[in-house]
Amino acid sequence: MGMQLFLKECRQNAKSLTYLVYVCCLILFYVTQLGEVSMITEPKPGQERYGTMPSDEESIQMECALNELFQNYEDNSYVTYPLGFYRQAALSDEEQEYVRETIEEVAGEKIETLEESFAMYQEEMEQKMMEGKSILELDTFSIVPDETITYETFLEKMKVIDQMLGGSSRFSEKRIKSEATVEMTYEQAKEEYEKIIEKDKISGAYARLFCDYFGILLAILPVFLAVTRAVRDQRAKAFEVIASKKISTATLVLSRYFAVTAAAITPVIVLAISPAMQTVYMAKTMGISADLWMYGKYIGGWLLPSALFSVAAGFFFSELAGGAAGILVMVLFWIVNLFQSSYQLTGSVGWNVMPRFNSLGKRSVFEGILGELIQNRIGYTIAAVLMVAATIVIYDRKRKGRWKNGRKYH
Amino acid sequence: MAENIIEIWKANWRGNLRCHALGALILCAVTPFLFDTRGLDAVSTAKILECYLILMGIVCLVPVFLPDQDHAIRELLDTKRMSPAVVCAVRLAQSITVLTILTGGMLWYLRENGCEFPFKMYFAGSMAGMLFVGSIGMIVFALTDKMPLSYMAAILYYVIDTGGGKKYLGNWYLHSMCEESFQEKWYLFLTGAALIGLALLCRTYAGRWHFGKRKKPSQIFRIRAGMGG
Repeated sequence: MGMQLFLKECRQNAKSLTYLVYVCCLILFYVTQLGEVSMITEPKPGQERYGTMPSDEESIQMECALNELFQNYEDNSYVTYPLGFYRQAALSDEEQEYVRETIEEVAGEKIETLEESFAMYQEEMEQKMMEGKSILELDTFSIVPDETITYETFLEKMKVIDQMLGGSSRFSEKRIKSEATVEMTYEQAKEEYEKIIEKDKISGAYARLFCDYFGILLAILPVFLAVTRAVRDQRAKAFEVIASKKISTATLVLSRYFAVTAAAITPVIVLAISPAMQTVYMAKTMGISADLWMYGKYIGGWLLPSALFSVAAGFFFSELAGGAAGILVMVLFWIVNLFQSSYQLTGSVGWNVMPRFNSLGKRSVFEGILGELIQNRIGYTIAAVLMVAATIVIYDRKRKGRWKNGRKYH
Repeated sequence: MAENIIEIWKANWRGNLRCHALGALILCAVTPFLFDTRGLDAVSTAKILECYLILMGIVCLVPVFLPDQDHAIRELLDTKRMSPAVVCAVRLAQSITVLTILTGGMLWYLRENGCEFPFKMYFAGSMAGMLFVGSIGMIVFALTDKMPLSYMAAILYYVIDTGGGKKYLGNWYLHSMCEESFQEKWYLFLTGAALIGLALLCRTYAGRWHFGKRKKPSQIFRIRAGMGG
């Protein structure tokens, strides 16, 4: 009976106008954002830049954090992550004064000297751009920490600034260590390229980009499908008829839930076929055996939990507080996550419902965040399961006449 | 007439808008936790208004037609002497009142927190943007009679605006205040007002035109001849 109901629900979903709009959105998004993707090419000796990679070196970590502190000081805008969410904070005059003193002590130079150097760098950059030259020819502006400042002293000073910002800022020890990057050399770039060939089989690099783009949509659009389904009974005045049927609430809710989830993820799988075949062909031309199922693995592990969560939230909040509540809560949650991920488009995971990886390749960065990503996806899957369970409980109480707009009635 | 309007106002608040107003209030209340609201300059203030608080327009305006989702209620309203347009206009006025109070309150809070910006211009610009995104949801609701689709349309416009921006939307770009331009707000306001007018028109005459309901020619003849459905 459950399977029959599931298939019936799938047919109903496929016929709805909301689903048609949903599929059109996915297709339009795919065509505009992923229509043209650049090839992964082997790095050549003598290139101007090879990209960046994370660094474990203490001196690099100190330099990156110091430079970011200087930029933040100039703008009086500091990045913090209260409760894991991105936020920009400003400091008071006294706090800014402390930051200024810290920068001068760590850099071993007056702030005015640093500001002059930065202004000269900006002028040089503008000059080169006006001459039509690439800004890649210019070294990145960098403040090097004074040699007398040890790593431990530096972390202590950053800890004070982190506490001024309410904790969990860019200058916490954890983020100083995890967010330091360094320019790659040719050898490092070549090693990165070899990883993409051997471990990603080319397909993985493109699959990550695919998941990055579609993760944004799958975190929000399926909630509209869920709410459409949740309010259908109410509009058709069919709730009392359904409530009187023999079918268990769990079977009823789960068949609807899985039908909506299947409807949400199926177009994504279909759209992934073309890029998957393209990457297989690309790999063949490079003499590599590609993994045809790589896209499927990434969709299952990366995108599916977002869809599961979004659909579950739609059902849960619709049953709890009405159809519009499901949409509004999820939209607010999605907007907050979107803002959070805007500061770091590659390698931003945390507890974001849409982990970001807006780069082609960067296997090292991916390996660095893989543990966090797995934790994130399992967390959202568990949250989805809990919300579905709560939906079953609420719906069952409604069927038994013990829940109507929050009031008990007999 | 005035008594009826007051009754509509009270009933709409109790049965419909109250929850959405609460949602909009929560949206405002959460703002200081998501953004730093101290001592912002005009552009940073505009970012908060145009990237985040503009969603209040969707929250408050789309529910104008929500009580009429039940066709029985809609047909009952169509039989009354008072035009459904008046009923919807009262609901719309209530939603705009809530938006005005919340937007004014947020701007006052930002100013008290040391943010520097032209209050009246930002108020007008914010209201224009909210009116526009809300009107997208309203017109879709009026035409399709589907609540999720109406929210979806408004959200999709917001997403396209955030992603594509001025390139695709031109003068209907929602984040123009961030670029210190207010001309686009006129386009948003006028288009929003036109879409709202169109939505009210569709809702008023949907019943008379049997909008969304297909009838056989013989049924239409019998209705017009007063012979019953």
